[in-house]
Amino acid sequence: MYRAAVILILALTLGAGASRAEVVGPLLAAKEFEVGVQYRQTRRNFSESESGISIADAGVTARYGLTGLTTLSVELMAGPDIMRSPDDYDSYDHQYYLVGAGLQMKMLQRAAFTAHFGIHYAESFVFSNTEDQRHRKQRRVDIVLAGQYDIALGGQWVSVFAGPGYFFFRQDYLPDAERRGTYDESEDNRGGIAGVSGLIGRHVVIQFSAVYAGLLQGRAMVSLRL
Amino acid sequence: MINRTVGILLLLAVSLAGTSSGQPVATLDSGETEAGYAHRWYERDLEGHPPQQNQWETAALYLRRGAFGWLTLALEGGLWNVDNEADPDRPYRRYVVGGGVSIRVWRYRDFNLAAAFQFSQVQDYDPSEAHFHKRTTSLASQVFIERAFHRGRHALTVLGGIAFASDTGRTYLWGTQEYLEGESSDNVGATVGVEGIVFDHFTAAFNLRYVEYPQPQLAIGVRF
Repeated sequence: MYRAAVILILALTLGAGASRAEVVGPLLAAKEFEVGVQYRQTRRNFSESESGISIADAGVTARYGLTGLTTLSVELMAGPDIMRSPDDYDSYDHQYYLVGAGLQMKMLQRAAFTAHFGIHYAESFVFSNTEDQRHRKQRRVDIVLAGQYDIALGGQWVSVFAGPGYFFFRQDYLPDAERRGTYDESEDNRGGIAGVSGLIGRHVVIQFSAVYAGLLQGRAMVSLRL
Repeated sequence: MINRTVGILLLLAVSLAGTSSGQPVATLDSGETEAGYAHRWYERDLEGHPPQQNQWETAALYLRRGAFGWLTLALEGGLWNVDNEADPDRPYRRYVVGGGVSIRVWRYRDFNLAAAFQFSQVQDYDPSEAHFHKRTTSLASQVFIERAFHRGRHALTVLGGIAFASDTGRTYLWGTQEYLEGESSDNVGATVGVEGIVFDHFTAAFNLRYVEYPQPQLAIGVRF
């Protein structure tokens, strides 16, 4: 049973189809390592136009407790951009790439309460295989100051975390697209994040969180702690 | 044993189907984590892609983790600006994404019989008017024997075995989304490598995979 769970999560991790994830969560203890997949909604209004963006995606994530004070996170994906709505285009055939990394640092600890600061940068690229050539580059910077409270629950650990943050999103319409060389940037970048993360058994971690930055955006992650 | 066999087959199927080649292949012990930089040089004949003989290289940062005493997981990625022969003022934007697994199948004294499966994809976006976008996809698997030699806080791991590597290259044509695509056909060869760790933490690895042509790899890292 346990081995089946391990293989299932590895399969999800290695076989996920497309992406754009974010890896802000509870701090990890030194040498703890998690690898998994994350589903994320991105809903933002743009500052210089009346339009916005509403997409969902998934990505492979890994988090590592470098020391008891710092947690390193990475996110990656290469694959067909299958998570986007195909309504945008008659024929949607795009390849999706994501590379991101971040660092969270402990600032304060009092018993079960921890305060930490985190910054995360990710860049994604949507390569259009269709004639419209709507290549797009998306960059995001998340800066979060969060409080975390760890609760022992029936022999398992649950962490709740919340705090204010700055969430910046920019989409570039690359030179050979219809909107040659233009870009959109998010407005209402100040907001907050709240979430809950639970360790099931010794190895399976499930996390749900929501970010508010002008609009509400949900995230879910399942990981294997190795 | 049956469970492990099923697990290995599933991992193999998953790796080849979806994701995952620049990271070192030597296995890690459970709980060990390694982060570093890897660079691999490729040379392959890609049928259907003139010129047939192609050379390229990938650079990536990697993160590896050993678990369960038999599994090593690896992720690699990179964001780079690289030279664009069509327009030196507008370099390619390169995205490198990959990953892999190494599995210790059998252990006897200081020897490990292991298998490694790796995937990487490199997308070069050309922002110039030429639009010479390029993409390479590499799948590799290796079955090898490794042995570690320990001396105080230092260790040296040597490995050798057989290798399978399949590479696909795609180049887009001027101003269109049409492309030429070629695939390697001579995909079986051999691999040898050496990985050293000094003062328990600092690693350097050299791997030479010979599949059609020599394809060397260098990696440096820190092990925690």
